[in-house]
Amino acid sequence: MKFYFIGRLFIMNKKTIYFLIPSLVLLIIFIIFPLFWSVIIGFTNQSLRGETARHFQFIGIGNYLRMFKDSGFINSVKVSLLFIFFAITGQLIIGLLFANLVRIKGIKGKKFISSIFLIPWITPGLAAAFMWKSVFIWQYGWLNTLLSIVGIGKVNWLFSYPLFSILLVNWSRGMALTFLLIGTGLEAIPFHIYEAAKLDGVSPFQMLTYIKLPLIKYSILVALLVNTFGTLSAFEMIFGLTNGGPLGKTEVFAIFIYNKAFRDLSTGYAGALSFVLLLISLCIGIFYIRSIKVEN
Amino acid sequence: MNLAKNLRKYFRRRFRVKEKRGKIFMIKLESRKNVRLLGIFLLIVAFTFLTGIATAVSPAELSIMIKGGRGGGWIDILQEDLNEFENKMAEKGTPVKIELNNYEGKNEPYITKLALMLNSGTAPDVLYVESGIGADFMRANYFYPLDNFIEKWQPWEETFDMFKKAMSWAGHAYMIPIQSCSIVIYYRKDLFEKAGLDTKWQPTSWDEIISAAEKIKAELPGVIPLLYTGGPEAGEQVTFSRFLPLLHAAGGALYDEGKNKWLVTSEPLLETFKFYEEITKKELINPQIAIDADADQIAAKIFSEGKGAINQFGSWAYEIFWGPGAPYEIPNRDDVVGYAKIPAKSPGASFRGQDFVNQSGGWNYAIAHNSKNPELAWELIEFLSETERQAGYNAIKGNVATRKDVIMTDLYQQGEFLAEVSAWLEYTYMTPYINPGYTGAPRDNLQRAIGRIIIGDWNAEQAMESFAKALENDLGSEKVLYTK
Repeated sequence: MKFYFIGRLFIMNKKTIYFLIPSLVLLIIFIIFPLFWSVIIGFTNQSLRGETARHFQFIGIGNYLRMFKDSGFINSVKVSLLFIFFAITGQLIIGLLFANLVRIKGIKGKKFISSIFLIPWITPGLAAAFMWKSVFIWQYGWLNTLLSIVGIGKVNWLFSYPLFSILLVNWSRGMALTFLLIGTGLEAIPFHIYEAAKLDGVSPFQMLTYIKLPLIKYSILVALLVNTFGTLSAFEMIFGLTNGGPLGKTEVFAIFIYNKAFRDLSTGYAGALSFVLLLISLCIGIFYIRSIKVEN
Repeated sequence: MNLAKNLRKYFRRRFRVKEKRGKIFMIKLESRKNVRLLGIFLLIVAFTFLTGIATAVSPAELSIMIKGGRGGGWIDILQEDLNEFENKMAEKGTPVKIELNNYEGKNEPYITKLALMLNSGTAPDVLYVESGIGADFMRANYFYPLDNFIEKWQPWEETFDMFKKAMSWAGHAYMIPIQSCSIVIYYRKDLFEKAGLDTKWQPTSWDEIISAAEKIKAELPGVIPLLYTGGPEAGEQVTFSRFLPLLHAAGGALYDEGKNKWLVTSEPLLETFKFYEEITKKELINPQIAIDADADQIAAKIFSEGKGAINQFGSWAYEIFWGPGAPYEIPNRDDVVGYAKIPAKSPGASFRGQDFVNQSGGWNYAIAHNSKNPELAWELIEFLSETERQAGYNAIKGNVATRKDVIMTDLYQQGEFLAEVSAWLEYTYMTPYINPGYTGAPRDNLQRAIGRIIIGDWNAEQAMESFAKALENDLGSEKVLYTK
């Protein structure tokens, strides 16, 4: 159907294709070609140093086999799984909580509060990382200053609790989207359902679990889908905050790929790693989209 | 001839040209399309003509990229010298315009930038390259060979042999060394005095370093006795300034030049890991600072504030970190900062049977393979390498010279510290720093192993085992050698 429709447009008005050309050119140069090139070099021993810099060779699946023996790769997968799990769980819970809180009757300034939640989301990742660094800095950060005031003492957050630190930053930024999506879902629930439930004598907890959650399942799935993709490719925030350290404790997959490509200059290996990340993202995407379709 | 004939036929047919006695008489432009085509053609001709004129009268262009930090000092002097070179070339009748690109960031991103530019053929003509990565770049054919230029070139004759070796690959020279360093054990004389230690300190074994650190810890709580670093985030100096000299001091090497293999297990390697294990267990270092991404800067600051007692680091730190106007200036530096050679693990136990060891790297000039003016680029390098000029650069930056003629200048000899640490070059063993491939997996895995010891995750045996396995996985079993 789609193809036919585009085909008819093409036949009916050739000028349409001229308007698409600039976007297509940009798409090919910046997305499609680099994508294919990184897949191709993933099968070579290309590097930005040494003999293979300008004369690299095809090595088949050598890079892929190397991954499974690479302790850094295995570490990055573990860290990524932990990070994704806690990140999206935290974003969901916090987003759901605040979406419900701002809808409590009698709360004033709901719009203002809602817009406050969006600020971390619209802040660029690297800027957010540097702002949070000033919070976490061991000697002068204001978090430690607060803790000192209440008598708890200083903690080197980025050294002792690096994963928790980046999760905190991630929650502050990621929960905004969940907050919006779930909020939209809650707004769509007809008011008479709440009234009927109250007449039946349900508690607030029962209202949440038996009424609201089932009715906003679709919004939750969409939020999970978007947040998972965002977290899977999380880079600039972690790069700015810890750069994968200390000693790989926050080296998620994206940071590992970056370090392989631009610190070790092993572009062939990094290409193979990028392809693996792409496949994982595709699988997750297909799973979520099917779940959403079933829900619909 | 046929082409010209065909072009004439085409031109006549296209523009309906009428000829009279073989000369073009009239061009009949019958359609808007023809007018457009002719217009475009005339524009192209005019543009080509004007560009040609512009190229013919404009000066030649040359670009140079250096890693000079935030400017000031050396950069200002270099800019003046570049202006002088431009004037000199203009007087010669071959004007040149030089663009100076100063990279202000850290080492690792600078190397990445260089690699990307060289690989894509967009690098500036003259590059400022570190010796460690220079070895890999030479193997990648990123540089223009300098053999023809250095033949009978006096400064090359004056260069120390070990630097000549480091600048060459497969029998060809590709870089010109301009500065090097020695690795120094800096210590705070004022803290030593308070702790009851001799302020004229020259340790002769590792035990003396550790016992001095233990005394500092006991007598001066709150002062960090040792400022060693670890982990890949802390950067190059984890291995270059600290681990590798200690490995040589223990009688070991990381690379077997005869067999072209990496020695991933050995007794000296284990001993060196044990040194880190010991100083960690005895709490003579601060692990949180040691593995920080800015570990060197923090250590330099702590040392300048008198909160750190012993810092094994490069000779450049004396000027660049603690000198007048430096970020962590020590006002009475010459009185309170002492410096000592790195001792062998025990006298005579080092790699070549020496009582002391040293590590020297350096920065060099190279001409990019994509340079359109390699001869002009060489003239610039020649100019910047003049003896007095080079002595000035070395003196202001506190860098050890790589040439005998530079070291013998009065300007260079004026600096007591520089003159003394230059003499330590006799103890230097540059391998594996200058070995191709060192700055990749070998260094990365070594830094990781050291970091893990420092934070208490691994002991020395575990660190060496993990280092060996990781390097074998990265390079292949044919590139590694187990000797323990």
